[in-house]
Amino acid sequence: MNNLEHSSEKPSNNQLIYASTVISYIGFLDAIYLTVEHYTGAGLKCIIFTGCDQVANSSYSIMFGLPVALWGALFYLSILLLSLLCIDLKDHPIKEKHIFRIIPIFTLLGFMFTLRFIYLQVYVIKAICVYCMFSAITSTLLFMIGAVLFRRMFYKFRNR
Amino acid sequence: MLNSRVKFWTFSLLFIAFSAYISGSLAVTKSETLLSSALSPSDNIQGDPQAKVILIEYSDFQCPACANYAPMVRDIVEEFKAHMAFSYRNYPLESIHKNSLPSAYAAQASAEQGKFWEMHDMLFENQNQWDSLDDPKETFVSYAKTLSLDIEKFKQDFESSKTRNKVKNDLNSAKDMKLQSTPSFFLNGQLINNPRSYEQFRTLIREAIK
Repeated sequence: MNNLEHSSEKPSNNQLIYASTVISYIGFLDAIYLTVEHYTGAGLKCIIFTGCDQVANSSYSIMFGLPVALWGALFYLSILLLSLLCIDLKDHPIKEKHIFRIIPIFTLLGFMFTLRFIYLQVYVIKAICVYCMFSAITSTLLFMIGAVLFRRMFYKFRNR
Repeated sequence: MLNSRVKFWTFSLLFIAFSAYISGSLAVTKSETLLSSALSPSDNIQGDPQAKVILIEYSDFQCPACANYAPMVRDIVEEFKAHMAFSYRNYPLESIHKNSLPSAYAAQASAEQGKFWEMHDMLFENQNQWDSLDDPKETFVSYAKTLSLDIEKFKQDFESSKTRNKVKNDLNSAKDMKLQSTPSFFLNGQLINNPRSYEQFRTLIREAIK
């Protein structure tokens, strides 16, 4: 067994998966809120910052013909379902062989888009949407979890 | 074994679907904000002020979303001007838009020479030219020249207490109503969800006219 999994200082893979389940669930709800707002035009209830609607209504809120929020919801839902699948599979080998490799790829993609959206908010739109920044935090946390999983799997399979 | 897995997935998917439904419902909770101050002679108005349908926009000249809406609103007013009045009110979000106040003053100073709407269009169309300037006043003066305004009067009105009070009054009314964002539209005194397309906007106005 991987020593890292039993280290008292570092979280086990299962703990990381539980964390990614919770974080992707929260990110999914945030993205659903933004998606519904986009289609209904209900007006974002801005807290802490002002400027949510400037961001949500900007031309950058659409990507490949769909609202960015909807892409976000699909991203979080994918991670959430993969995490649930990991919980369901318990110690099945497919978990480490495949899912632990897919999650880091997804989270890396999510993180790259997050960086782009932060740049657009700060330097192009010049307004901050608190819901989008919240999503930036959740996708960054998922990226960190994905990176740890990737590193563990990389060393584990290389040392075989 | 299979039974417990079915239970696990059924519970998880139902839980996710239910949470998504709640989250979506929160997003569409309609605001019941009512307009705090009716149309007045101090407002900049297009169309017929006596019309049955009154559309009031709280907006910020430096807000990109407001600039996106400006052509749509202009077309709506053009199409329905015989049946409606449209008024632009200032809600400069100074904390995030450093030139929102001077741009509002520029539009209001142009109003003193009957060219509020011309300056309104020019500010939105050229937003990228002045939004990041440290001192945009000279740019606004150049717009005033383009609109053939009396430049000396424009400069005086830009600084005048009348101009500043009008902007301040608009801003205070927006704050009183705790408006969350720009643009915010009031149709016959009721805050509406921002229409996502020209067609949606048109339908709203048509229904109000009926």
